[in-house]
Amino acid sequence: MKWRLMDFERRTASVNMAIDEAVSIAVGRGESPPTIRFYGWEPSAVSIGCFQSVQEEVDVEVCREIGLDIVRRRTGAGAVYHDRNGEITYSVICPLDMVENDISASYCTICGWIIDALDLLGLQGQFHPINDVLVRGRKISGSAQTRRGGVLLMHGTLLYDLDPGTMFSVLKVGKEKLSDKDIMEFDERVTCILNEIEVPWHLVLRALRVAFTCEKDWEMGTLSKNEMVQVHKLAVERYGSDEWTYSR
Amino acid sequence: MTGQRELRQGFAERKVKGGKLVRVRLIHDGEMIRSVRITGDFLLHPEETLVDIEMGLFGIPLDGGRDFFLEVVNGIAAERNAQFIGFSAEDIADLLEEALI
Repeated sequence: MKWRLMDFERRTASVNMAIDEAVSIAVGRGESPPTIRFYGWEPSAVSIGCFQSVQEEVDVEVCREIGLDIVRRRTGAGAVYHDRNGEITYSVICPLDMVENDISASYCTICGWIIDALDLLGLQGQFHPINDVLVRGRKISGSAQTRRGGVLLMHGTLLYDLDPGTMFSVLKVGKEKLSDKDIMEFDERVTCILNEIEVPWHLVLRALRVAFTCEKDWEMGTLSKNEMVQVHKLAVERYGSDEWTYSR
Repeated sequence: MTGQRELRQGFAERKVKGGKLVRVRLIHDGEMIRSVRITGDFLLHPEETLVDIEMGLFGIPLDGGRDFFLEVVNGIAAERNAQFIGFSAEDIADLLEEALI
């Protein structure tokens, strides 16, 4: 089956999550092809896992002050600070029969595409179960997936640049660790492309495109009209609503 | 008012070794669980299982203890054919018991 590749663009947090869900619905109905998406966040945002509590994870006041979006994903895993300039996010959306039935194995496979992209950039990535990719033992990519209606949605991030100051100020996990010592420990746990190699953004994106489409039949594509209608509805009614965001 | 019991809150959390963070907040009246909220960065498929577990624990007598909590959680998970990733039904049962202390 031919994949659709949707090129990088920055959107608001609620629209980004609405696109992932709208495409999942369309793929589940057989109306859209399996899809690989690269995207960014405008403005920068915090996303939380579907089982997390905003109050426990996010400093809402600071987010408001500096104009960050907050969105609840429909996938599990942890809270993420999505820096506008520091991250490329991806989504892989396809029928379940195109991936392993075993959830852990499918994390390994798709994280393998990130590792392939890193390899193209001259970096050695390593899959770190359950859902991370490491470089030199430090996390550079995290991911989460959901399986609904016969469709896999897996989205994840690749860190291009780090802004630990903002990250520590908006995530409560970080806020408890504001000492220099803890920031040093953070440096030992997390890395990004620019910490490892001087490479421009567009080459990282190109490496991701090549790695994710390797040995696949694919073509560039955009949202269908039906998907766009669904995106608008989901962005307003679900991902942009306090009822959803603060449901835990 | 006779028959009305004082409500008490409990909280427990753990970072599962090699796994994820799980937090349990509950309210009980000394006899039974009145509400449970489970949060964390774990993975659970299908995701709706968590709400089923929280609702399924409502009204569960405290004297059943950890083993009974585990039976309830496992029963709901089996109905949903659920997969816990980064934590387990045992972690939830342990944390429920701990939150009651």
